Amino acid sequence: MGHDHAHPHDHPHDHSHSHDHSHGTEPGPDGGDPVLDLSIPDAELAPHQLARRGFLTRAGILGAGLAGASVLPAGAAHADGRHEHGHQPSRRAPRHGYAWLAGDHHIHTQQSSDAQYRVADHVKHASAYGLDWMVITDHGSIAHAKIGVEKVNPDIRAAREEYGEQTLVFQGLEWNIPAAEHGTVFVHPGSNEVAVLKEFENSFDGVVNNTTASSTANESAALRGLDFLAASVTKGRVKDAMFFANHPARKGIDSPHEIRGWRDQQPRIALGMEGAPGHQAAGIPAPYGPGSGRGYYDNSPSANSFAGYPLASYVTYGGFDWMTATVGGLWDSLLAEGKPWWITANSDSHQVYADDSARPVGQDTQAYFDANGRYGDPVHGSTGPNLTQGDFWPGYYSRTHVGAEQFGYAAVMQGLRAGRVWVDHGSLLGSLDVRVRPAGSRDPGYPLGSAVRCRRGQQLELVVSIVTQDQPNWAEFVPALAKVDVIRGTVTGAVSDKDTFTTPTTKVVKTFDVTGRRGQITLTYPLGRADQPFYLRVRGSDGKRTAAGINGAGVDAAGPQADALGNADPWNDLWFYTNPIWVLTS
Amino acid sequence: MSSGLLRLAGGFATTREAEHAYDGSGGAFVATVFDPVDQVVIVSAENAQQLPDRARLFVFPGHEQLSGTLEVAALLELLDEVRSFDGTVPGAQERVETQRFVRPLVEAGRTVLVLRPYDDGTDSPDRAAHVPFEQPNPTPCCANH
Repeated sequence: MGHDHAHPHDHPHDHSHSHDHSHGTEPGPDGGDPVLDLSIPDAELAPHQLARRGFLTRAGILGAGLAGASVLPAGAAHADGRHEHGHQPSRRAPRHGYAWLAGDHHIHTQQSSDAQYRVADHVKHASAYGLDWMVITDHGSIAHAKIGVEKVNPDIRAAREEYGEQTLVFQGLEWNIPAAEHGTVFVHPGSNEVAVLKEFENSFDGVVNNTTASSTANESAALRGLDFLAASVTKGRVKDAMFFANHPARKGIDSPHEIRGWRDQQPRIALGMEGAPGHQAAGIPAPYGPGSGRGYYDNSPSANSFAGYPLASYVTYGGFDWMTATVGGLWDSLLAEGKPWWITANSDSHQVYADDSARPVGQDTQAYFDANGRYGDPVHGSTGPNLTQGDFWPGYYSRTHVGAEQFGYAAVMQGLRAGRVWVDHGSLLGSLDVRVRPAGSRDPGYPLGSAVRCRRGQQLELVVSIVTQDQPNWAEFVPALAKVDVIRGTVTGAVSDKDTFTTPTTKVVKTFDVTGRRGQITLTYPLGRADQPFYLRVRGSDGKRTAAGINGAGVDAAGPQADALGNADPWNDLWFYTNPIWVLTS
Repeated sequence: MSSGLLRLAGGFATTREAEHAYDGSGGAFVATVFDPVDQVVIVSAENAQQLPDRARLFVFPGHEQLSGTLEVAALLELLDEVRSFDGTVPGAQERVETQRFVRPLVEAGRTVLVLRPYDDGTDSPDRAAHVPFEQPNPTPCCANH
């Protein structure tokens, strides 16, 4: 789709770059809608069309926001708020002033056959534990598609009424991705939220449609599902929709080419994956815990698994999924391609460790669930705290922090799409802000998720601003940050083999020892003269469990340790991870 | 299939289903292999050299002796190699909690038991620090309930 520059441009940056208006190349059933056709200038649109274009643009659905197929010129050309097109109000967004909103996009209720709580139970806990936003994601299933997806909605709307000032509650579902794992799909609240989710589930859920097995045909069905979500937004049925892959390495069935395929099919819908899975209590040792694998990562390859994945991929490392925890691994191979793909951390809360509630007798059977789309409301149990459950309440342990321009549904979705996201466990940090800026300047710089364009030879620096945690977490201790790692990799461009899951140059380039430091910590790391395009990401830990990384000590000297089966105390092994910032030279 | 390799049955959804269906026939080594069409297939051979890479053994000479906590040295009396999934090799006296479920893999005709770290949560001096990588009761996929 072409651009005629008929709309005003107003770039407040001082360096020149060529405008490569090759955005909008993503496949999608746009169908000639003038709102979506950016070759039609704003001035030619009716007011209601202009308003809709404005919303889609701010949400990152339209235009060349970072949610393109690539940060490289062949994809989206201009990569953050300051580099977007002139008709976009978001370029005037506050650069310092993001509200960092903690959330969780993976939560199950009594509408899941392996869960038990009311929506209200989760929302009141999440609200008390400090979450600003949350997504209800019951499993896709025949009963859910028929009954549960509708039955849960009044409960969600009631929770919005009661808790909406503190905690935003999205409706979503956990999609059985055809040919692959599970993933969160959720939409902006609105009058069609149930209709869109229900049609999506009936048409594209792997269990409902018997398309879970790995096959080329089923992989295509997943892509059509993403097309459906994109069309639901561009047609205005829902204001926004997005997808994140959940526990991606758990069973080895999300192959690298499938992940790349989702992202490339609908880069504004398929946004990322869980960097850390839920079920973080599953490694608490017996007899006072489940004594399983952290995250319930205790599987082995199956017939549906990608044969190229090593056994090391089926294990968590410091609570994080192998794709994310491996420096120079699968996630880095996507970032080195210039492919925006963000990580999150969630509870996957089904039944909570040491909770003593139970499903009500008589309304606790599969038959009852299938007939009613849910179990009965939980009741007080009579057997004491359930120590064999491996989940935490939303907000209790895992947090996904989103830099939003304001408190609101659309702003959270915009922040997620932009990749202004970092995650932590056990409330490790009080706050975090990461920027790339001209060296020695007072420029507020570019936040997480940005692709910074600069002249070759320009000197830049990375600034990591941390406020250490001064409040006890939900295990009643004040966590202490011990170290911060800067991870850097060369942007090498698109890979020829879509099943690539390594990248050779990415490694930890700097470790800051911050043991004993309290309060505000500002860490500055000079990036030298910009030459080849590269990216940065930041990681840190309490320093309690470290080991040489999978690609060796030369790549990651003190990375997360593989979690032992049977005893992985989640509170004595806390990490934070940020999403990346790219630096691209022109 | 290479010579000496027998295909006993196929079309199983999982390795566990295949093992339950196994009728006791075949040679000294019986394994599951994955196939794009037939999913899980049971194959058999008289020796491990005849089995393809990644064949997963559930019958092999001496397999019935493997239960309880064993030293690596005892496992090496039956298998060619024992190593952790990260490539490190445990000492001969290190202990492995077998969980009565030992499923070695074939690599270039050799039998290899891959381990993962294990911690039973106790401070017992003779506790096992490893379990076989494949678990007897992995957490099932939630949505298939």
